[in-house]
Amino acid sequence: MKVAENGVLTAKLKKYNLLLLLAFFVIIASILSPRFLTFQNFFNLLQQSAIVGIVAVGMTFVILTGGIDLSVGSHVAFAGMISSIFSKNLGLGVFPSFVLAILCGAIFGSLTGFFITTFRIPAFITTLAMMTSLRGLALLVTNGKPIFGLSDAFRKLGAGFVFDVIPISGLVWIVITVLAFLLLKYLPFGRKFYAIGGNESAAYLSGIRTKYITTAAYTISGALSAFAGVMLASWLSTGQPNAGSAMELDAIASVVIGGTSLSGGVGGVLGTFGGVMLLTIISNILNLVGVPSYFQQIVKGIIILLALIGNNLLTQRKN
Amino acid sequence: MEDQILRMTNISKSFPGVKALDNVDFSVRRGEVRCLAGANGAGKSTLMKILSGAYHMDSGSIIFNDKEVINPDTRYCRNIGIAVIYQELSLIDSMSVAENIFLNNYKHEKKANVINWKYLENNAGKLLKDFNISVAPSVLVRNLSMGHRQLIEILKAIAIDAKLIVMDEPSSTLSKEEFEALLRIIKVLKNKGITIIYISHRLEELFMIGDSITVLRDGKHEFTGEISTITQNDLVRLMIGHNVIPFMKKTSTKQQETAIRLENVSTSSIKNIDMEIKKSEIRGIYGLVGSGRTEVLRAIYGVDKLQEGAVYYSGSKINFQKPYDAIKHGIGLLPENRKTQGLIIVHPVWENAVLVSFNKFLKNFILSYKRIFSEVRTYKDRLAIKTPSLTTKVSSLSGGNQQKVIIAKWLIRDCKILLVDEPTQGIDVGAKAEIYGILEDLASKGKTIIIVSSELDELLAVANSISVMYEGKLIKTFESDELNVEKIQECALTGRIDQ
Repeated sequence: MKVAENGVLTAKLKKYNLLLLLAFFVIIASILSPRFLTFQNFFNLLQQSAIVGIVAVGMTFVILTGGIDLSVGSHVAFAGMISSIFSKNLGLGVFPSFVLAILCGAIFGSLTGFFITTFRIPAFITTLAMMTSLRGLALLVTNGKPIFGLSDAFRKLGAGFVFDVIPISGLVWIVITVLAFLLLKYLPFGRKFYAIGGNESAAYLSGIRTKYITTAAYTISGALSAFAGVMLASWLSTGQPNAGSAMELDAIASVVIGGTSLSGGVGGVLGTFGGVMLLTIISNILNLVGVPSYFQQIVKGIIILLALIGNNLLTQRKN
Repeated sequence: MEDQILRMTNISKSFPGVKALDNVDFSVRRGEVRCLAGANGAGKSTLMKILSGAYHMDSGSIIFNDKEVINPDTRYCRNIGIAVIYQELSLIDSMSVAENIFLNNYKHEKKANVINWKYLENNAGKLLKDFNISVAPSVLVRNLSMGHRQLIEILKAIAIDAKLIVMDEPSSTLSKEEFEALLRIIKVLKNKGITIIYISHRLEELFMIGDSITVLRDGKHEFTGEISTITQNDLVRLMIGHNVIPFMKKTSTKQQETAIRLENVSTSSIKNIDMEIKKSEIRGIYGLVGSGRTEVLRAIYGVDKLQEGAVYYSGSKINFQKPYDAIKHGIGLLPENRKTQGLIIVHPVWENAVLVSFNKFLKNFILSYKRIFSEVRTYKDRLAIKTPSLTTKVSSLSGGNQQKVIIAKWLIRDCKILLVDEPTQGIDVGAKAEIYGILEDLASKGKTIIIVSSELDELLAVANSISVMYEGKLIKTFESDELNVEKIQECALTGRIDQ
C-alpha cells in the first residue's frame, strides 16, 4: 500500500511542482525587496511578460504537435514593422493596421505549415528558413531603419492601462491564454493537437487530417507572434526591425518549464503561463540583486537548467 | 548438486499499486534451454528486466556464474555475460551487419580507439559463417528481413561472449523458415554451452525448443520441470488456471447481404484481388509474412492507393483517399502494431477511446466530458477493460486491455466494418479468448469483421471463412464448410491448391 501512496505523492508533485517553483522564487524575491509583493509590481510583471507570453501560447500549440517554431521572433519584428507602416505611412486606422499585420503573420505561419506537411521538411529547418527570411523582410521594408512616432491610439494596446493601473497588454495575454485553454480542452479541434503530438501515425489512422491540424498549429503560432509584435511596437511606440531577436528561446524555455513535453502530446497553456511568469520573476530578482545584464543571461540559462533538472528529479520514478 | 549458472531466489518487486513479483525462485542449469511461460502480467518481463539490470528488485538475491550480483545496472550485467534480446530489436538500421554485431564492443581490436574496418568485417564474416547465416557483413541492416535481424541480434550477444541469452518473443514476427533457422541456431548455441532463456506466447514452439520450463502466474512461481513431463493442455492450465474455451464450428453467412466487395483491386503490393464479404461475417485473411495480407486491409482503409479495380461498399463504389474517408463511412482499423499505430501511448484511456468520435460528444459545439466519461465507462464495463481508472495512461495497461481500448474506440464510433490486423499478437491466452468472444459477439450483432493473422489457429477459432494470400495474390477463399488445416497451410506455403 505504501508504494501506491508514493505514486500518488509523485503524481501530485508532478502536477504542482511549477507552482512550488513559482512560490519558491516569489519568496526569494519578496525577501530581497519588500515592494515585490504589491499589486503595482504584479501588474508590472504582467506587462513585462505579456509579449513573450503571447508568443509562448502559440509556441505551445506547435510543441504540442511535436514540432518547434524558431521563426516567432522574426514574426514579432515583421508584424511590428508593417503595422507601423500601415498606420503611419499609409494612414490606415489603428485597428485595420493591427488586423492586417496579424493576418500576414497567419499567412506566413500557414506557409511554414504547408512546407512542413507537404514536403516533409523538418520543422526545425523550415522555421529556421522562415526565421531568417522574415527577419530580412522586416529589415527590407525600411532599409533597416526603425519607424518612430506612432500615434497615441497605436500606443494604447501595448502601453495603455485600464483604471490607470491594470496593463491592457497583460489582460490581453490572460484572455488569450484562457481562450487557448478552452479551445485545447473543450473543442475536438483542440484535442487533435494532442493526438498528433502523441502519435502521428495513430492519429492519421484514426482519421485525423494531420496535415491540416499541423498547419493550423503553425498558423496559430504565426498569428499570435504577429499579435505580440504589434503589441511590442505599440509598447515601444516604435517599429523595430531588430525586435524580438532570440525571443524563440524564451518562448520555448517557458513552454518546456510549463510542463509541455518537447516530444509533443502532453502539456498545455496554463503551464506555459506559469513558465513565462517564472522566467520574468527570475529576471526581476537578478535586477533587484543588481546582476549586470551579460551575467544575467548566464545565470538565467543556469537557472532554467536547474529548474528542469529539479523537475525531473522530483517526478522521476525510482527504478 | 547440478551446475547452475543462474540462481535467483526470493525475488520480489512492486510497482505503484501492483506487486509484479512475489518471492519468485528461478534457477537455470548451465547449457540448458529454459522456457519461461506465463500470461501477460504474470511477471516474465519484470523478472527478465531484473536479471538484465534494467529494474532493481525490492528484495531477493541473484547468483550468476557462482558470483552474487549486487545492485547491477545493464552495463554490468552485459559485462558478466547476460544478454537480453527484446521484442523490439536494438539494431541500428543505417549501419552494416558487421558494425551492428560489434557495436560499442571493439575489444577485439589491437589499437584501442581506432576501428579497423577490415578486421571488423572479417570477424563478423567468421561469426556469420559459424552459424551458417548467408548474409554479407557489409550489408546494411535496413535491407535485411525480420528473421535475419533477429539472428544478427543473437550474434551481437555472442560477440560480447554472453553466457546466458534471454530471448523475449523472438518468433512473433518470423516466418516458418525463419523460425527454423532460429531453432537451428539455438541448437548450435546449446552445443557451445551457452544457456538460453526463451519466452514465447506460441506454446507449441516451447515444446520444440525447450529442455525445461518455468511457469509464472500473477507474479508467483507456479511450476518448473522438464518439458517432456507436461502436455500443452497442462501448460495452458498452469498459465491461466482454467481451460481455454474450445472453438466451435462456424455457420455459413452465405445467405446474408454483401457488406463489402473488392473487384480486381491492385495496389503496389497486391494484385487483382476479388473478395466479397457478407454482413455478420468474420473473414480471416491468412498468409505468410509479406504475402500481402495486411495490404488488403490498407487498400480498403484508404492508406494505400488503388492502382486498378474498385471497392464496393453497401452497393456503391467508393474511393477512399485517406483513413478519414473510410472512417466517415463507418470502417475502423485495429492496426498490426498497437503501440505505434493503434494507440497514443502517452494519453489516458478515455482520450484514446474517443479519439475518432469527438463530434459525438458535442453539446453546443463544446466537448461534454460528463458524456465522454459515462460513455467510455459503459464500454469499459461491457468489454471488461481492466484499468485502475479512465485517466490511466494506456501505456500502463496490459496488451489485451490495450487492444480492448482500441475495440472500444471503434464501437463508440459505431463502425459497421472492422478491419482487424493481428489482434492478439503478444497477448496472453486468457485475453485472447476474451477478444475472440468480443469479435464473435460483434459479428452476431451485424458487424462485418475482416481479420488478418499469422496464426491459423486464431482464424480457425473465429472466422466463418478464410482467404489465403500468397505473394500478393488471393489464392483461394475457404468457405465455412471447407475449412481444413492442412489444405489451408499448404495453400499458404505453396500458393497452389491441389484438388
